[in-house]
Amino acid sequence: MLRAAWLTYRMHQFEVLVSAILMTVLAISVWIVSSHVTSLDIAGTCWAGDRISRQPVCESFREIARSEAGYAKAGLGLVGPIVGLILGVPIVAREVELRTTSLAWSLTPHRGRWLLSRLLPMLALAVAGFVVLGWLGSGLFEAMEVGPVSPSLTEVASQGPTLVARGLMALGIAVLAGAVIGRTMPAFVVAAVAVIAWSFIGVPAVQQSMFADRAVWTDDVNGYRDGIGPLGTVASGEFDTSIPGVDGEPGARFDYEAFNRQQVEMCGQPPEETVFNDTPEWRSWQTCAEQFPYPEDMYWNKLVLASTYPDFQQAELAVDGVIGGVAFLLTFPVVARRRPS
Amino acid sequence: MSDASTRIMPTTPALEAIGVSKRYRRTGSWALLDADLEVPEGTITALVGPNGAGKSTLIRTWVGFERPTRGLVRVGGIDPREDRAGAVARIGYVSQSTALYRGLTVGEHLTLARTMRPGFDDEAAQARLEQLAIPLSQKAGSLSGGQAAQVALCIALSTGAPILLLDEPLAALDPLARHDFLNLLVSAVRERGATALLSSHIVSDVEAVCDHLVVLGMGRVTLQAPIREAIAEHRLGPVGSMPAEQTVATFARPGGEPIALVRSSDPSLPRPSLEELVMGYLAAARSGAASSDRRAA
Repeated sequence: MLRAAWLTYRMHQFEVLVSAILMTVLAISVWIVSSHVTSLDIAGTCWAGDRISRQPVCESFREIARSEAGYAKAGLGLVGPIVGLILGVPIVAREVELRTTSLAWSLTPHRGRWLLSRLLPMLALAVAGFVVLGWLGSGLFEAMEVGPVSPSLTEVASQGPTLVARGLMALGIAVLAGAVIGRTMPAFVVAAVAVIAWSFIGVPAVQQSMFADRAVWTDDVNGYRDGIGPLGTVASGEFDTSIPGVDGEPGARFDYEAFNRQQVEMCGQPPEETVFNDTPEWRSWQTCAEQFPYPEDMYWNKLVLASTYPDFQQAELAVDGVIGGVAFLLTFPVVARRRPS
Repeated sequence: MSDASTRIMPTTPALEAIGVSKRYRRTGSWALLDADLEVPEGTITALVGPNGAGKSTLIRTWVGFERPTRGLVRVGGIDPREDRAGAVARIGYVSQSTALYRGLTVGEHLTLARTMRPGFDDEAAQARLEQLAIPLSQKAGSLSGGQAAQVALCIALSTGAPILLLDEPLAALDPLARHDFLNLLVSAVRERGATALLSSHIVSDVEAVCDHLVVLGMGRVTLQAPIREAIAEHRLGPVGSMPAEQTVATFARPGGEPIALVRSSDPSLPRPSLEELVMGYLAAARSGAASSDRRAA
């Protein structure tokens, strides 16, 4: 078994090497950024104390969030699908393309076992890398999302088990595309299109459908993190769910008084003054100053409470798991039936 | 030519094709048409025919790489469609374009074969490769065409399979490499009492080592017989000198002289060479196909 795994890595050494380097570099980067953010002690320093003393820390946090943490989060969001595609496509497609399947399939009485012997080593590498990255990603998000900053739905697959699931789903789609098409580059393009379509159309569609049951109208965006379109989450503490929403349905309205109290408590002044007198371009991840339109310019959004975020993660896990699992399973009959070249 | 044709024919054929037709959906062309064929156990059979005659398609149906559109194939009595694992376990196969893993060494190929094929004889393979002076540490990508074919044959032989299917393995080899390849094949097959089917479009390649002959032309089996018998039962004669029902076909010799291949044991007429016998049956297949086309038109 170990010998077969080693030979599989030798056959696909370029892809294995590229994937390993990609995941290692990203893991180290995420770890460094997380350590940096943690060392700033945002919750303890930026959220407390007087405004003058916390300003440099908030500035540093803002800078990190804009630059290295932004890149690290983007990397975490992309690494699963990219590594999944790189490792998955050539497993069958390369062998069909180079006609080595003629040798392999004439030697092995069971093509299913042959596929497993190729698939399992790649899966082991991918799972190991994704689990480490998912764990590091969770650490980074935990360090970044302090105070009323709420998680973003677009980043749902950039951390924890959802990163692993999205990556394995991409690997499953890639293996299947490679087995069906039998050519590396066309299979890579098809699998990439499928994964991108799922990430940018399928996932938001699932999120939208979940939103229908859970979202509430709100007339402001404190703690709001951009999703796709009107999707977003909000921190839960600032909503009064007893007030009907704009559509007349029971929902949540932004509690200005509570928010102002919090802002005065933390920033020493109401948010309007903080924002428009200081740095109007600040975004929601910032702690003491939120973009805050005046009541007459209010726009309304449908948001979900941050407490429901785990439900979205579980939905992503379930759907990715089903798609990836079906793709892996379908590869077996495809390999069993296909010509070797 | 060997003396193997005089052996008693066993009752169970090693390989069978019963009314096999194969149509490729993409091109719409028929690669095989009602091919009926039996390869006796313990023989080295030459499968001869021009390019595109259907030799590779027929071999690939036995390995389970192709499914016949009509008809049935059997490997040692097993239908690969029903029990591919059982059929593949009885076969050692060398493909037309010897495809090895370019990045792996020869030794790693043997390891790979051992992990995939139960009973693979690693030591025998190493011994054969040593005889051929092919280092185990050499990368497959740096082997010559002849060496790659030898490695593929060594792997096929070391599977211990009772049936060897060799799909034009000699096509890309120089004369010396062909000689070495055939020597290795014959000694290994005779030693084990295995059955081998060797396809080629070059008759002289197989004449020295094969005892049975199958001629495939235009997707049809036009002749199958022990080589000695086939030659003994045919004669060459001037065109038009023999009754039409005895005439297989007329064809042109290399000098352009037309000649007829006839079914006859007449000692006054010259025996055909193996090449002439094959030429005659291929010409018959071509004219048969042409007349079928005319009828269809």
